Amino acid sequence: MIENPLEQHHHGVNDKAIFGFWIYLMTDLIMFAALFASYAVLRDNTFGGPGASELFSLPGALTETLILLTSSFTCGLAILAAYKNNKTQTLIWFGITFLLGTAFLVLELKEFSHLIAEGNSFQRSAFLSSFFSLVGTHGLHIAVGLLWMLVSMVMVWFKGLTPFIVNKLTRLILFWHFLDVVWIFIFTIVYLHAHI
Amino acid sequence: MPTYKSYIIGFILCLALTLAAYFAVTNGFSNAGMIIVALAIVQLVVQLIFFLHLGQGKDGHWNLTVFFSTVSVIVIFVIGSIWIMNHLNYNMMPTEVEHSLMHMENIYK
Repeated sequence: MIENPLEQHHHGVNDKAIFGFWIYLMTDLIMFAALFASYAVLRDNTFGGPGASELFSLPGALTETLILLTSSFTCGLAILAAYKNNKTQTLIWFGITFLLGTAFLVLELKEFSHLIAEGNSFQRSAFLSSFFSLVGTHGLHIAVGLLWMLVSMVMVWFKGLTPFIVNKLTRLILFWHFLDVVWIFIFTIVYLHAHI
Repeated sequence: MPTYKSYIIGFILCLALTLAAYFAVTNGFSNAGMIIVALAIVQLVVQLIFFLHLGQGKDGHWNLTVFFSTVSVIVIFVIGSIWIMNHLNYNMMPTEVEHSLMHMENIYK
């Protein structure tokens, strides 16, 4: 068991902040569920255009999945280092998480630009509209998460691991783990299901 | 509270579940559709326990309560949407498709 420096504040404001953030994540999950439902409903409405099995590559999606899963793991190691009050290790693990997250986003944007270049943009069919809404919303969350991570790293660098900052980091890793959980379902329902 | 052990166990389990789902599809298992959804739900539970540490710690039951009420909302409207929209698709087809379907299913007006 690792000693958590936040333990002494456990019944203070910090605890409520994390609970409030969890409620935000759950409402975000409802929004993603709506996007999943519209994708499931519109999946076959290709309007004469290409379908999911012709457009999505499985090895590419697996690479993205493994990158995001590893980044979820390394951000966990970062928060453990923060709980142990080890500033250097915290920054290194968050740095690795940031690079993996950036790699994921670059791969996703490459896939998008490839689809659009071939004339299969979100305007092509209802199926592609729902695909770009769902995967694009997730990508937007990843981009915001990366910005948040960068700002947090700067704060840790200059101010050190104060209880206030460690509490902020705890919310950041909740957000990052949450995005990986949503991605499992995108990988399953969008990419794997296309090739059955 | 998170530990190294929980993160390493969670990571290995998630890797195994992801690769299992991938190979179920690439090897063309006949019931791959069911398998991958089941594996995704198992991986959801694994990540909730080992990465998000849901329901652990002093006030964890509140997080768990909010989570389950969210899941019930999601299950109702996702399954409901798919159910209703599939019926609408079936019942509001163009006339030609409707006639060929009636022929296929031996329905006569």
